[in-house]
Amino acid sequence: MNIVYFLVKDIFRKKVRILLTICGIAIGVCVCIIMLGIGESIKNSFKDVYGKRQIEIIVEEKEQLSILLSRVDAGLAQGIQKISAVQDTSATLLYLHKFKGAAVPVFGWEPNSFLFDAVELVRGKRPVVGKKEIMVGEAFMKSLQKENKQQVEIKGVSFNVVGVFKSSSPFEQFAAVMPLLDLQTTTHAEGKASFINVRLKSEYRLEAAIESTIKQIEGVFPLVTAMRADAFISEKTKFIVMGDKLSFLVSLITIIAVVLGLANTMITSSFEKRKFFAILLALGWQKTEIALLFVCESLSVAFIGGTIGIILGFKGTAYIFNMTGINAFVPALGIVFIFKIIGIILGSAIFAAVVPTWITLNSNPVEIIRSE
Amino acid sequence: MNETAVEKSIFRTVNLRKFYPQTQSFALRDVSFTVAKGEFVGIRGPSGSGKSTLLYLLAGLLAPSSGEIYFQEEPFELVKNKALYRRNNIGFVFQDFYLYPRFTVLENMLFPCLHQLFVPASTIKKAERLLEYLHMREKKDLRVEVLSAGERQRVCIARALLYEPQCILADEPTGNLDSSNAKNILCLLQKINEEHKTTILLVTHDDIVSHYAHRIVHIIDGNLHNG
Repeated sequence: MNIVYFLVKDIFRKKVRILLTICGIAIGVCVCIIMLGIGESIKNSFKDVYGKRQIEIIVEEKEQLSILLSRVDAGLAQGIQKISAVQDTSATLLYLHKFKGAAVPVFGWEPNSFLFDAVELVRGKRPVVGKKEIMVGEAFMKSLQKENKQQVEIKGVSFNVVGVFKSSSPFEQFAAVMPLLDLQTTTHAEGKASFINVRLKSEYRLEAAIESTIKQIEGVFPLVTAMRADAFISEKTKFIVMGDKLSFLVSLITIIAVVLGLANTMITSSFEKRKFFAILLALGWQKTEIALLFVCESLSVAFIGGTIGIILGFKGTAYIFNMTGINAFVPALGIVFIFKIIGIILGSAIFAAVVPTWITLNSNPVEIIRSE
Repeated sequence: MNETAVEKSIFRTVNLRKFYPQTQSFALRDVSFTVAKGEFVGIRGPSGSGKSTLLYLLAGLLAPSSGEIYFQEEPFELVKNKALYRRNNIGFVFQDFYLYPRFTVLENMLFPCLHQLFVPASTIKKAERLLEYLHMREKKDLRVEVLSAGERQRVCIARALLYEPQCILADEPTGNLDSSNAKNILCLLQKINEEHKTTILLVTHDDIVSHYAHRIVHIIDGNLHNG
């Protein structure tokens, strides 16, 4: 016999009560994963797009609220390149393509853009200008294959899928890339870009230097706004941040409900077992060992409920993303996120064990033994 | 008391008092007595006379209001870890058995060892040997709820013996048993006392104990009377 055997057998002595508690924990954890996971995934996706490519500054049309409506001259990229701090620039045209009710970002990139460096071509080749070619992210490709399609039709023009790429950003995994010129022509935005990505020389990637370069760009090109990439992400993902805060609040309330439910079960269990604990004390157990037994019991219940909740949560998130067609975000629920959730579960379990432990350790074992 | 008796004592109390503030009453008043190693002492007295309080004081589960307790001539107040003291020296047998339902006889015996997280195979073998000694081996895998009262008390005794204690403190062990089972349990305790030289302090209000114990002390209204 060992402590795990005892805990499992003991926990399931009251099957209905414990199953209800486990269900409560599982649902709570599942809700947290779905609520926090969606916001986290989308935010990480955006961060990854710019972080991996070391893009410091984004230049877009002045006073334009949406990046989709922003239009700057693609030729600005060459002008900005001339600024001494700038290492590289790349114009990007963004178009949202409707696919099965979901919005798929289609990027127009210059043929030798550094933006290609952060995506790995896993099949085929890069699209060539004027040949009506397009390359797609792995997740988007899967969706296309489900529809038995090898072309993407944009504004009535069919583009053959000639390459499949993998990106560390789930956002790009469900995207498509084609030559800038082709996208400009197809969307009637000749010579235009949505924004310009600016990479600085390594010695200029400092706070002051970035700010000074931003001022320089805005001074030379008065019709544009230059923003730091992180500020750009915050600005463009305001709705996500707001949603994120709301998700956090809902998750917090859920977790409090879960902790209270677990604490209630633990307190009931402690009252049922107070004689048993008093006897253990009489038989030579130390109070710390009794406390540990409580924590272990609480952790075991939380572990079972938490594991079910994590599985349900991930499946649920995948299902929701699948339903909305943005299943590419699911991989962002990575190991750090899982550890955060496990931390919350374990913390809750320990917290739930505190009250019954305190009650038991402050009870007089002789009084308990003598009581009817 | 002569010096030899003191040297061989397992418990010695001097002017031991226990006052319960809740009831504003003394459970024990100036109790001074000695228990020699290997002795079987019966403590008799009416309900509420302070017999059980004495046992709990000797087990370190209660603290005395005044007076001294010596365990093997060591002052009790120097024993910092009372739990460890109980684990290493004391076996407890209770009137109400306090066995954990849904668990088997063997599992109940092994509960005191669970603090080790994994109960070693040697301890399990020892528990099985003890059950054999108490004629309970064939019932080791039965759940305790199906046992008779006499059998349950045997399991309690087996549980108390697992750590080979120097002393068994038995609080009314025959209180819930019929006369035949009570005799069997007392015979068993006598056998343990004789064969293992385990000191036994047995609290009871049953006359029958005088046939098995080496001596009987009486506690009446918190005062101890020898013989």
